[in-house]
Amino acid sequence: MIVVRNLVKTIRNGSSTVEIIRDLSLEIPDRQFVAIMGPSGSGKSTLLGLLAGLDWPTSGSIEIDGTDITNLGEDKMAELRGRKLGFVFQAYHLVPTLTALENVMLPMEMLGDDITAAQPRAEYLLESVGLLDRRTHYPTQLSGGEQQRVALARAFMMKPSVLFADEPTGNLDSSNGQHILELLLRLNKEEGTTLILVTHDQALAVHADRHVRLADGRIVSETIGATR
Amino acid sequence: MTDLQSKLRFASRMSWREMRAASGKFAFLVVAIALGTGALTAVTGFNESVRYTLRREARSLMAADIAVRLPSRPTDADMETIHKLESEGIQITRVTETVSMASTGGGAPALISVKAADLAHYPFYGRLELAPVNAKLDGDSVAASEDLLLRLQIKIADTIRIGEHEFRIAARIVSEPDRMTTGFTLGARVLLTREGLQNSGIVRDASRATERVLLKLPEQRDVAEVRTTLESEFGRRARITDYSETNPALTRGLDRATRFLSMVSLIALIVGGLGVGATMQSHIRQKMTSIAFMKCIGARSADILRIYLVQAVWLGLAGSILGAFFGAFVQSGFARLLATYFDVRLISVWPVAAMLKGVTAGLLTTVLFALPALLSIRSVRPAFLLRRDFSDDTRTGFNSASLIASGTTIAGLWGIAVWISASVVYASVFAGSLIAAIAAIGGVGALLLRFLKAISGRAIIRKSAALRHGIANLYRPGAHAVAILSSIAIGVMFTLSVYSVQHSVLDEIQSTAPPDAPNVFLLNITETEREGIGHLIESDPAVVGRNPLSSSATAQLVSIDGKRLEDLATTDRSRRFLDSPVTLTISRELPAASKIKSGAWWSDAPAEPLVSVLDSTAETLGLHVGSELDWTSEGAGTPIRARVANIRQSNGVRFGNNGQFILSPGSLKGIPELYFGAIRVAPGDITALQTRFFQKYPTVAVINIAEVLKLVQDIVDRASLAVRFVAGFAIFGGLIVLASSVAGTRYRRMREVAILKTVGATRRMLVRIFSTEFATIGIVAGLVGSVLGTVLSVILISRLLDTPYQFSWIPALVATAITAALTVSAGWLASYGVLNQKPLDILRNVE
Repeated sequence: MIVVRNLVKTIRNGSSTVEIIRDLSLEIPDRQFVAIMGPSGSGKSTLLGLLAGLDWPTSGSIEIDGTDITNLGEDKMAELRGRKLGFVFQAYHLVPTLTALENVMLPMEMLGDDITAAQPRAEYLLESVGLLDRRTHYPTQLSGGEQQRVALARAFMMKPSVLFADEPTGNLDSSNGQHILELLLRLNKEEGTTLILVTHDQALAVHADRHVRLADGRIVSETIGATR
Repeated sequence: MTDLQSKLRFASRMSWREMRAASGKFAFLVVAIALGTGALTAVTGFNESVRYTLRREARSLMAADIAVRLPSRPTDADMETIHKLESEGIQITRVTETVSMASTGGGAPALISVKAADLAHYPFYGRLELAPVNAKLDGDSVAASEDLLLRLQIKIADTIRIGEHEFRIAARIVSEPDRMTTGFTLGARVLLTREGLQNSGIVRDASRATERVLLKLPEQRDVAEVRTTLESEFGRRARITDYSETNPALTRGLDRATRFLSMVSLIALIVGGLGVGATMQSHIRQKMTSIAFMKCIGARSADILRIYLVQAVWLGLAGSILGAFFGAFVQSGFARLLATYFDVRLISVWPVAAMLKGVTAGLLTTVLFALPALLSIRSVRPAFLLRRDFSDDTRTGFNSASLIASGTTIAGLWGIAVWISASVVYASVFAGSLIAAIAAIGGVGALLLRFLKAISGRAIIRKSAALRHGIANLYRPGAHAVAILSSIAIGVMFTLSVYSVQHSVLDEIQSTAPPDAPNVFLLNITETEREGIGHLIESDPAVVGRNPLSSSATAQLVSIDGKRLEDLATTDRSRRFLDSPVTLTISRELPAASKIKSGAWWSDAPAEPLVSVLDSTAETLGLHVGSELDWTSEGAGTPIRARVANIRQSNGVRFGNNGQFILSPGSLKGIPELYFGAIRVAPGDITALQTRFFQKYPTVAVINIAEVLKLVQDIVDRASLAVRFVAGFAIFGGLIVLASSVAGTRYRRMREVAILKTVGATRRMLVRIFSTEFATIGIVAGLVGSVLGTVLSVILISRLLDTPYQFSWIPALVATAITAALTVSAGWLASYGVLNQKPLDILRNVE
């Protein structure tokens, strides 16, 4: 359960301050698939960053499973992210110096867990995205679609309770985008995660349980979407 | 497995993966660190080898267990004391050394350094090697060094005249075990027997000679006990050393040289460190998304910092271990370079202590310079992944973390300098000036580059695409031109100032000497020869400038204001007065080219003996007008006592009666005096004059100052060669740093080449663009380094010589040109193959 209350985020831009999120409140129950939509500059990515604890709000609170993350220190927040949250980005953000398998195993290593346990799961995830035979390849040796599939496998590595996805198909052609979408939905179902997706892509959004539209840092409309 | 262990294991694994992917860039850093560490290891390792040799060969290098050194001939009472030891089973032999002249028949005489020993006993330890091996010397034969044979164009079995006697050359001297104890000598070596010395008549009552009595103790005798007995007998009149001391004067000199050279090698290490800092910075900047991502998936700043710290430690270890081994090998080459100066057959050892020291210093320097980059990891926000300009308060230039990082780096470097030089003051001065120099170089360099960038918009540069792109390339992300420029310039600065000092010191002495300055010295004139020599000087047409003969005595300073010198001498400089006797001279008038700083010159007949002290000596010993000095001199029953009448400043380096202590007339009464003369002779007539003097007064040494200067120049050259050798590591290190940066931007360059090729740039144009970029760095670094090097030379030379520095543009311009040539070569070596790529391949593959 994610509870957002009176969220405000302003940034300084030289001498002026810009309000990006204005007094926004939102509740997201477990296992819900939410699509956050809106035009460029509406504050989608900022909201996603705040929900994921990648940045701190100017005021307001965000609770994830009862923990107010706005009061957590940097390192505590990092640990929470590692244990509970997963991420998929438009630009994949694979670590270029690691192989596909190493990239998938990375979150578990990062938390200091036993990596002998990590390998079978990482290989299972790579297999489920169809890339087990490419596990020793480096990101530069993979196509965009393949890189995003590795990123997807990595996002599910820690069995996150919430998965954040920022335009996950934005850099891909439609067939690759479709493939990623299918994987995302399948894994989401299998793993039972809450999915928060920022996108422009209507084809992607139709699968969501709920649509949240933003404009100028406010929620302008909310619809409960079609059933999957 | 503990928590820390698993964290470290993870950090090592991650850093290894990173390095595996960027091995090329890091290889350069390893080399840069290895160079600095190598220089340091070579310098300190050389010291270690010399000390090892001195320790192991201690007895051979002294040829005895104990040596008693007396400034002149031992008195009967002294000899009696020594001979008493013989009844206790201690063997004794005497060695006399002095300067004299030798000549064949009617030819020009040559200056020689005489050693007379009883070859039945000498040496007690070690081997005197002659060629032929079985040659025997007697009262009518000598052994001479190769030098002299060449100089006089003679061979074995020929005859030479030394003093009043003709000697047959029976052998050539190959090596003397205790050659080192003599130190630096003016003439070529000639070995005589005691009888031969007697026959030559060159050593008389007051002659300037060094007398050593060598002792060999029976197995069971305690060296320290015998030494104590001797010390209580001789007091300060003799300098007593035993083999366990391993030549204190030499080791002190060696330590001083080592300290200086290890500071110079620290420059090379710091240059490597600058490279580490710059590369780490760009490396981490390239890894920003990875770092942000790792934070995203739960890594804490400390975890990530640990990864890159482990990486820096790996690099530092690899570089410094490589450097330590490299240094150990260089050290033996270094030994060959300097061994001739020490005249020791050096035993090269694995300098383990020096290698450990090198590795530690190398590793610490690497980590220190990596620190600012490592700490910047903390400010990377995970939100960087979503939008680069997402967050408002990251990456503001100066924050407290970067200040702390720089502060820690500087303090750490200072700590390393203190540790290496074992002196807080020395290290502080060095570290302070170095940091000031780096700041100045960095500041001026950055300004110059900015200036270039600013004017690159001007028409004249806009016209040339090569110039415009070349200069713009300096500002390519990850290019850190200022760091590269600084690391090269610091090496240029140092090398150039060493070169200037080396070349100026003697030029300065020669060019500023007034035309009538004495250029020939007459030494060892006794009372009986005084009048005759005086007449000869008056009547010889070759002499163009005359001064009256001055009298002098050799004496040992014992106390100041009644306090013993042992208790007063605390600095290295003042301790020198403990070990070596000084020459006291007499003068009625203030010598030329001198002026009184305090006190007053004496009247014709002062009531008590007065002394005039050279300002530098007064400063070393803490003397002031009114201080009372006591010297001992054998032949004098009571100490020579004189009160300081004035402190005198000498304008530059002058030859003549201008020693440390000048006494008022009559102060040396009752002491066997020697006379010396300083005259001016037309340079072309000196050889003929030497011949004329030798025929009449063969025991008087006639010394041509030009020859002395040649000798001094030789020593200065050798010393500066050593310094430049070590400083060369810094320049080389700078070039490696440049190469490392060029290699680090390799993919960017390939992409640029591809893009430029697609829009029609020819290969020739590309060559010109990159060459402009490399040459600009070289020219700016060369200019900044030369200018600062010149400033440094001016300071050094004016401190050393008290004369203004004659500025010359040529070395600075040559240095700049050489630097530019070197940077262009290093740049192209590191970008090998960049131009050969096909544009399409690159545009498809890179990024």
